[in-house]
Amino acid sequence: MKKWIFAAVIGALALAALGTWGYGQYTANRKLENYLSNKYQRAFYDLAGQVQSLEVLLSKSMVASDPRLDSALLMEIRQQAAFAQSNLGQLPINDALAGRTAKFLTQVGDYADSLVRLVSRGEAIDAKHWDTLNSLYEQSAALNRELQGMQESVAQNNFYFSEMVRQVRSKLQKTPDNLARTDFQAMDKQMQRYPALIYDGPFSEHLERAEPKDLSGQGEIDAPEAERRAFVFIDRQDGAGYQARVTGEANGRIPAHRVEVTSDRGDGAVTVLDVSRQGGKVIWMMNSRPLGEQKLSIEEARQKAARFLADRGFGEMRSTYFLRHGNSVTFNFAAVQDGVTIYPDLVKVTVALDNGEIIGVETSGYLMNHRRRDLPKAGVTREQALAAVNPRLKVSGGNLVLIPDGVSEEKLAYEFHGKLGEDSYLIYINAVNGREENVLKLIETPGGTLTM
Amino acid sequence: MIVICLVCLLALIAVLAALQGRQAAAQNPVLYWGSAGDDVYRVQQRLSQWGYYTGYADGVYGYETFRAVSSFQRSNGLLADGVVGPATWAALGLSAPADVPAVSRGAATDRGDITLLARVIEGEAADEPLLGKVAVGAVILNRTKSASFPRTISGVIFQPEAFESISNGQAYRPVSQESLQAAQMAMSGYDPTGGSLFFWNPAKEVNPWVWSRNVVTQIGNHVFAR
Repeated sequence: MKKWIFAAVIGALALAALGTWGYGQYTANRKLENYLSNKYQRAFYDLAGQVQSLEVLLSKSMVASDPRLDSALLMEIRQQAAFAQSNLGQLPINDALAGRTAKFLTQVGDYADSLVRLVSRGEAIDAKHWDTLNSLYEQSAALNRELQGMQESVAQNNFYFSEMVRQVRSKLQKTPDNLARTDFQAMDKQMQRYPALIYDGPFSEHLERAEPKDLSGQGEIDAPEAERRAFVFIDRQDGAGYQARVTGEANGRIPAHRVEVTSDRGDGAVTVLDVSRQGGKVIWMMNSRPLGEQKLSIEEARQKAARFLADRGFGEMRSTYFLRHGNSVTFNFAAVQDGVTIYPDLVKVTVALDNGEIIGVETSGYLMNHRRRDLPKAGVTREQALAAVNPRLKVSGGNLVLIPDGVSEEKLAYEFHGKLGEDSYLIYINAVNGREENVLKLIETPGGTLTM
Repeated sequence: MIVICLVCLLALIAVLAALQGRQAAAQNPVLYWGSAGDDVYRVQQRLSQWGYYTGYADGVYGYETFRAVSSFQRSNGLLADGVVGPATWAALGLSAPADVPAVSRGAATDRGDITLLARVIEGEAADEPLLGKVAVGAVILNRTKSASFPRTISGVIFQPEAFESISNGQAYRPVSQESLQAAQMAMSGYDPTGGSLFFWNPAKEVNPWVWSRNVVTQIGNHVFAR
């Protein structure tokens, strides 16, 4: 008799414990759902508010005539667009649903930024810019209309964002078929009706379609030729035999043959390279063999990297900075023409610190930009340029360099090293008109120096 | 009868403990008799250093390890059950993941970005070769440069539903050296994906829309597209 009661009591306690725990989990779950839904709501309402501001600001910028006011409006547009894009990125809708919208927001902000630079240089906003602003204004008005419509839905339907939360939890990858997602998709479709925006900014369309300048005019190569080029390019070690084999095609920004090179040295490492179809140049190379303890100094590794590039026909290169990670170090090299360091023509070389073997090369910057340039003549002397540097800095250097400006422009400049207390800076003075172009801060880390 | 009840009770306790343990799995897994792996090896090494463990550190939790762990727990005022849970990990001084990158002297640095990138790479491509890991890192960096995605690395990584390993917590495992190296190479500019913005495993279920993108290449188990 007692045993039976004892068993029942234990059983009941166990059930009660399980029940309490289960209920606790359920309430915690609901709380989190609520919390998440609130976050989405905040992001959505902020997005709607910012897009509304954008529409108003764009229309104002088209009618303002004082360049100072224009400047202020454009900077405000840039800020609102950045916030709007950030808030859009917090909503659980993927690129399929809102990619075009995100793109519009980024480009509006970016375009406003490029106009501000124009205005601050003293140039006026001409008819072409006005037309683009008008088109952007129309797009923002359409977007605003869609979002206002959605705000109505949200106000009427209490479960709008809870649905989203549920979608996120169940992670269904089916085609979107519920209210929230359909609304966003309709909004995105509106945006797709407008033509692509082309202007000189980092997020402009034409960056996607840029042609690699170093390969222009060259013929296509086939797979066996790609294997031969890969074989010649890699850092062959003495006493090892190599086999190169094309394993596929890469249809990225620069179409290429993918080549794998194996060695008979037995460490199992494979070197993979992409050799461009046009011109047969190596875009990148990576040898992923395990690395041993460091035996070389950074300076010895730099010399090996420089010799490697010289042997492969890169011409005169100057090493700019390096970054060390683990037992390898990556050097950045820039091309040199007539004594001027050309920064956009960038090659990165990774050297293994156990035996000095070149285990990585990255040349896409060089391939996209390198060509024989007509360099402008320096309009100011080094001394005159020095005068333009902030007098608080202790200055040295003053070599001529070519720096990128925006996306497709390049500027000739004097590069000075400035020291203020413990901090180091790089100052760029335009060599043609003597104005200060840019200031970069040098940040020392254990792995190397970063510029920001 | 009593035996059945006691067994039920024990089963309940075991289930609850296992569920608690699963939450901690993202940081340091709970180890007990029968566990095996790198984590067991670390525990054995540490206990060996401190004189509790006299056997061979082979990464398999057997009787010797059990005795050593129990003895350690007894000496440190912990519950001597032979199970290495969060308290025992802390007492062993092995709470942090093994690979923490060095902190820079400067105030402004991108160390945080590299660690975050390495975490996602570890979560998404732990079984891929180095090339596949660098490729995943490159996709994330390409997204920051694309107009359709957020501008910062953390913005891209934490975009809702963007990366499965972030959504399900797998990205919070200890980061391997290879993932860190891959993150650094991707930050240095290596891009084996030719500017790709998307990657997926074709063997797994994926949104069919993604196949309409321009496929660039396949590396390991992942297909990359722009």
